[in-house]
Amino acid sequence: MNYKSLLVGIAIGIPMLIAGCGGGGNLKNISIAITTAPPASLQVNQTASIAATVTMDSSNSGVDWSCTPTGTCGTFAPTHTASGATTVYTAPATAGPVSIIAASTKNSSKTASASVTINNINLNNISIAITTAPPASLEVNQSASIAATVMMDSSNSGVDWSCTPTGTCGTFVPAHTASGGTTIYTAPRTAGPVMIIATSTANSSKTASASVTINAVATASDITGTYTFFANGTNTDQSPYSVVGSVVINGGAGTVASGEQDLFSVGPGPGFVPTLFLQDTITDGTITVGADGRGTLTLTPTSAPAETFSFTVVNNKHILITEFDSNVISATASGSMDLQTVPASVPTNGNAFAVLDALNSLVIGGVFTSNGTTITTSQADDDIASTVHTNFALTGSTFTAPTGGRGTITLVDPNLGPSVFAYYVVGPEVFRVIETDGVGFAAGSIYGQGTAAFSTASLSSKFVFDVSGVEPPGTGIGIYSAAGQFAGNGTSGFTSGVADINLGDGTPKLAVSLTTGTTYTMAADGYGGIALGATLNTDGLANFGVYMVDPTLNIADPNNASGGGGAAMVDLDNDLGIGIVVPQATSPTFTGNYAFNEEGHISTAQFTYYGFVGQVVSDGTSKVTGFADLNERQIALIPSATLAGTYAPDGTNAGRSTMQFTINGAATPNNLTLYQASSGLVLHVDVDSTSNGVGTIGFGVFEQQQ
Amino acid sequence: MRKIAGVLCLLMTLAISLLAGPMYADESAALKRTVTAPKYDVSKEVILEGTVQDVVMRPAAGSIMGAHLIVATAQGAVDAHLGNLIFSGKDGVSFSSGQSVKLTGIMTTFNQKSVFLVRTIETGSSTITVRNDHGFLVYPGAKARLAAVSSTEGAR
Repeated sequence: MNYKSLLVGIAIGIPMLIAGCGGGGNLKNISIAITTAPPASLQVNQTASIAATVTMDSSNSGVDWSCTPTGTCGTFAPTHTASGATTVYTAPATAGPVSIIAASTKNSSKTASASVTINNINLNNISIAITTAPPASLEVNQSASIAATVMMDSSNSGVDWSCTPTGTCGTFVPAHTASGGTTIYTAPRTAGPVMIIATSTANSSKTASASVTINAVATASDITGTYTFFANGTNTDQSPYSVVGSVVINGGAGTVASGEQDLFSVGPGPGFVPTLFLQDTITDGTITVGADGRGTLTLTPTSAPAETFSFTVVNNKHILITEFDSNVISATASGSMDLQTVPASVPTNGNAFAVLDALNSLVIGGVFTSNGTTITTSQADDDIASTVHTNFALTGSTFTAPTGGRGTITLVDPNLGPSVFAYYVVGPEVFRVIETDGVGFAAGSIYGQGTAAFSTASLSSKFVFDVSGVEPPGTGIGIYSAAGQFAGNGTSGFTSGVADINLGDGTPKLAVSLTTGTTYTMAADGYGGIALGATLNTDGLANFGVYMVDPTLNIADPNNASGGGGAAMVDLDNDLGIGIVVPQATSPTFTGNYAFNEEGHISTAQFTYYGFVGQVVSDGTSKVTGFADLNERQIALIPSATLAGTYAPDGTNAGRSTMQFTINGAATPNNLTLYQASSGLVLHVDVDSTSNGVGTIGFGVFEQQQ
Repeated sequence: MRKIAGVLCLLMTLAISLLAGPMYADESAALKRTVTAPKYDVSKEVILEGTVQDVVMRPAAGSIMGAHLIVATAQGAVDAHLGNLIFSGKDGVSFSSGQSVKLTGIMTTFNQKSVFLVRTIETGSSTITVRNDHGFLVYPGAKARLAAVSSTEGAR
């Protein structure tokens, strides 16, 4: 052997030998140990963190995890870790001994193991606690998020939700949650104590509970004091019916102590003669209020037949009402009842007003200044069966001071002559009026204007309006309703505007633009008007008188300190009607409990006028549910009809939404368009099409219960 | 001098004209009303003659509400809308089958059906006004009250 060759061979062979060891050292030198051991026992499905460390593995190949008996010994996440890193072992679902094995990835013959005994769950160890508690009290129908956490439940079975008294304690969505997960609890429609119970799904004997007091929207005792009410509508002869009055209510006792009312009903029964009951003393009555604010008011006048009203409380000072009886002169008639604050009030200083006489097809509206006994200055408009007179004075008009909250007005429209009204005081700035001369049959309201000076800038912000009245039969059925919204530009035109108009012909105008060509005016005394553009597709609606009210006065809810401003409104064209204009808030919500009403006419199955009052809860996104009393006078009185509806915002016209709702689960839904003034007030108009509602017309409000 | 007087007169006239604006500040409320086509157009009225077939006090759903008169004419049966008001009050009218009537009104379509909107109806020697020139049904008790109504519209 050549030494030189030997040296070369050594020189080459040693590095090769070293390289042949792969840089991982000697495989035989590798060792592994479990450095974070599992507990000696685990419950089925329970988890534990474990780790193993490999030594003498210069390749750092890590650890592979496995266990026996294969397939029923549990799982690892991850199944491969770096040396010293942690994996989470989950015990199998069945009990028994298990061996956990950590193997060197580099040398799988090098293993370490740990024995674990898998035990069945000890159900007695499970506990549960409500970790997001409900509030101590909720109003009926209100919702709250709640959660509960289950401990020592290696099965992670979660929580089942329930409550007592069963069936009347509310609902949970979802009724089952994971441990720590949130459910939405919705209170029932009835008041009283409720126990909310979270139950471990794994061990139903383990529960946690929380008490919640469900409060009524209103109670009868809250409705105490003198209230002024009005209801306008139509009797069974399709002729006007109005009643205005005041009643002294002792809600705690459930009684009406006294009152007074004026009523006309034109034409029911033989002879079709006007029936008037004037200054009719109400001798007694009753009142009941349900937890959701729905209730019944009965009145016993001295001369007129007894009356029953269904109502829904908006707040203790404001209640929506609709007549709900079958007396010989009654009708469908809707309105409101408001706490009377200053019964000695008489219209003074600046006022706006609007009245409608549907029988004689006329409206009168305008503004006037009063010294308490006479109208001193005025600007008024009327529309008498499509003949319009504008900007005239009410010269010679007078007032008598109220006695017990009732006074009289002699209103002199030079185009009609004097008309005599009774007025009932709500407060210093709101008066409900009803014609009492037996010649005309008008009703409406007078609103104070405060001390504000008005101008075209008064209509520069956003407003919502509704208007309804009569129209020459032929185009439609003879009555109409409309609602919409607009924003003035501060000088003479609209920057935006849209409306829904229904003549009852089955082809309502939906989302009609009001912008192009529309002009408006507004004088310093609050006398103004809107002329819709001549090319707009408004089904004949063209001109409105607009009469501004006190910017601090909420004309829908007169004793409400917020939501003030707007105007009284009359329709001055071929059609004629009255309505209101109210400010539109930015980004209002539609969530929670709302009083609801609608007055209208339907002829899908049979001609009838209808009045509707009830209560719904809105989920704030798309659904309303509730109950209402429906007076289809010529068909039936339907108490506590179920309402279920869906709604969706108009993506183009913020503030406008469409709604479909069914009554008592009827197959054919009713279609409404909603115009939202604020979170507290939504005006709506029925817009049924030929497919489900030729002749169907209605309008009303949603008012948030407070 | 007459020329100077003439200029002064012109200036005074201009001044008065300019001052007149604020004096009639309420004219800021002036608005030219939008004029719309009448819903009932008297220029399109026709006269129908025939005999009463039926009086329908409660018409079918989807019709114009109020009473209808079914009249047999030479062109066939016509559905004539009367409303309820003329049947009302102590002067309320009634019709009998076979009675001859002469109707003045316009033919229109409502809910895809033809209907004749009656403005006046002649029965024998009497003429009954059912609706006014604008198409509104006339309430008998309203006659006295509305008699003074001018047909001239005011200017806003």
